[in-house]
Formats: sequence, C-alpha cells, structure tokens
Amino acid sequence: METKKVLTRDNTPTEELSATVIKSHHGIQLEYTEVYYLDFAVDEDTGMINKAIKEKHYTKNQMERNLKALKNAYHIAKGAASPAEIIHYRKKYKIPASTFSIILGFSKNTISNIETDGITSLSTGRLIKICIDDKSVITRYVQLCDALDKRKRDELSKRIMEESV
Amino acid sequence: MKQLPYTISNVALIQDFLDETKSRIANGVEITFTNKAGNELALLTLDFDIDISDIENAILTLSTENYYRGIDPSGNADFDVCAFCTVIGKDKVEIYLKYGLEVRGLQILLFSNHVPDYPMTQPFKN
Repeated sequence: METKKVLTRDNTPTEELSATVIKSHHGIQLEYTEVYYLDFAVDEDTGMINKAIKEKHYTKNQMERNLKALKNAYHIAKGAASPAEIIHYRKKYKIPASTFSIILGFSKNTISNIETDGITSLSTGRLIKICIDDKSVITRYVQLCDALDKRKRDELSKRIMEESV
Repeated sequence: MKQLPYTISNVALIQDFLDETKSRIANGVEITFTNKAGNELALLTLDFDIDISDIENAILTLSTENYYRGIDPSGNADFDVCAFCTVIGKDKVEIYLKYGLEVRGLQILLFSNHVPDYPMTQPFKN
C-alpha cells in the first residue's frame, strides 16, 4: 500500500507513520490512531536542532486528523454511537444514510459525514446511540418522518421490529 | 530561556519576530507541532474545545504585550524561540504559548500550548 509522504524540515520526503494512542482523560480511557512523521528534535530552550534524535512531529493536517480521531474516541467513550456501529445498523436494516439522517431529524448528509469523519458532537452521537439501541424510539421517529410515504414508513418500521422478535 | 528586559530595542526585536511569523503564515507556511505540543493541544481540545484555528488565531493576534520569555539575542541558534501568554477560544482560556522560527528555513514550530502552571509576568505590558 502506498503511504503518504511528508517533507521534513530540510525538505526531505519522509513517510507518514501511524500508531495507536491510549490516553486517560478524567478517568476515561481513550484509544485512537494518530498519524505523524519523524524529524530531528529541537531543544525548546536553546533552539538548537539535535541531529542525534528523531522525534514525532505533526503537520497541521496531521494534527487536524488526530484531533478529529481523539474527539471521536472521546464522544464514543461518553456514550455516542461509533461510525462503525451506525454503518452496521444501517446495513442490517437496509436504510440509506440520507434516509437515516432525515428520520433522525438531521440534514441529508449528516449521517454520511459522521460515518466518514467521525462523531463531531456528543449530543448528536448520543441521540443516534439511543435510536440504535431502542427500537421503539427509532420506529416512532420513522412513523413521524414526513419525508417518507406511509408505505415506506410501515415497511421500515416492520423491518426494524421484526428483527427484534 | 531568558526574559529580556523592557527596552525599546528588545520590544523591536520581539515585534520583528511577530512580523516574521505573520509574514510566513501569510505566505502559506503552516504550523508544525512537536510531540509535546500535540499532546498539550489534545488536552486543550478535550477540556476547552480548542482547535488548531484557535491556536493559529492566537499566534496571529499576538502583540509585544503578550511577551513572556526569549529570544536568544546571540542569533546562534537554529530556531529563534519565544514564549508568550495569551487567551484563546470562546472561553478566553489563558495559555502559555511557545514557538520557534527556523533561522535558516521557514518552519514555524510550536513547542508548547497549555494552561500556565503559575502566574506569568509580562514585562512588556503596561
């Protein structure tokens, strides 16, 4: 598999690396994958480059991706549904992402964005988790969804409820 | 890292450092994070919902009044390193911000961004 390249301080291309990070935050254990590259360490007091030691560095883009992964892990640990869980649920009940979004009261692309980029808000993630875990909640929202015609609403509700029997 | 005394030439030195930072960012240079700065920013994100744009904005709006410590005036280092005290994010969190400008290159390297462990004196303020 082709790996991403990053330019070091002296403009030498180097590979983007990844590693699993485990952090504890206020007693909650968070696990996610971070991306980084290696470059020579710089002493933060003297400003001198140490050519004997290479350390983790992050480009802005890498840092953005890492913070997104961290927030996603944090939200899941605090009770939000994970993107994998949402995908699994939709596939199980054959619900398109845009339909699932509208049923839950989001804009059309929200679920698709969450599945790609991760959970960006704890409240959103928790609402999805409640709906996934409680069939009576999701079938109620299906029945209240004006964007679906009655036949589709009944068909979907039946599919969800039948699975639970 | 030494704290420079409040003199006209030292204020000018720090102003040059800030001008150079703004010029590099305006020309498309992005901030690079050290491992330590990355870990600290992760904490700020979880505790105060701070993101990279907050850090960038903080750097872009620094003035000499925010000065805390640095630069080594000898000019022998690979990076000019300077520390500031400023506020960031919608909660106006006070942070210690330390970054360096590569002398023979263009890198802007963030070393530290965290809530200060103790009150910070700002010698160029008032």
